[in-house]
Amino acid sequence: MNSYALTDSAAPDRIRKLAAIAQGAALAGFALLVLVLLYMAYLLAAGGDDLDLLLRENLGQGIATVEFTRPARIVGCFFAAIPICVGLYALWCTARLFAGYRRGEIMTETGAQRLSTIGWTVLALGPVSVLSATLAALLVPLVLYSDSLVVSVGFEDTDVFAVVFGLLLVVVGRILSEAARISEEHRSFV
Amino acid sequence: MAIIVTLDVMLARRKMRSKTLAERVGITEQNISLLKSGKVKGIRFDTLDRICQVLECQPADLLVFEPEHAGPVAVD
Repeated sequence: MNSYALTDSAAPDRIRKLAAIAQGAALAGFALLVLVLLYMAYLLAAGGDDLDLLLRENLGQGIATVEFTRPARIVGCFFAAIPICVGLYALWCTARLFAGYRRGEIMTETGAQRLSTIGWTVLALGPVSVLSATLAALLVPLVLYSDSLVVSVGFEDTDVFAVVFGLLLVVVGRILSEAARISEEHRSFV
Repeated sequence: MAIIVTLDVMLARRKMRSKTLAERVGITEQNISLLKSGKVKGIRFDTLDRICQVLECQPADLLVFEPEHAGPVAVD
């Protein structure tokens, strides 16, 4: 740690409590997404139509009329899992950020860099979701019919929000990083 | 760094403790300790002014330049 940080005894209780709640929420979200992945794996193993419905909801209109076979379901699950994994990484970084806040690492470069990382991950979620749905719409019919090629690109408003919000977080992280550096420099003066 | 802080010498001459100086100057004893050991990047003029008033001395009594301790200097 190369910046000033509040000692554990100095970090106000209120900040530590808020950070603990936020860390818990991030870890709960992480656990929930892991459950979603496990549920998808279970449905894939069990077979049936429930997985098809889940894949159509997640991968958009491009595969709305597809009749799934097992190989197609595997391909669909792979592409549906990609944005979920990006979300898992974002939530993991968020949990680490708030764990640092609990330790008093608030106005530090490390904390600011973690915030930037979260921002980049959230920003990536938008295009990754679009790309996953596009590739699924391209490859699932190819696996099924092998003589047809469909290209379908769709955007949702949540994809745009992810990009905008992610960019905001990146900018805030950069500002906080610079502020922490300047603050550290001021603290070096008596 | 070539700037050597001789605050401890002046404190000994005035027979004053670091804690007393810190209280009268209005900074923490920890910062006085850091200043004495030269582990700070700089000192504000305001702080230097108050130290000189309390110790009744000149800035030159507190700061000495010794070129043999200087590090490498970037030359354009």
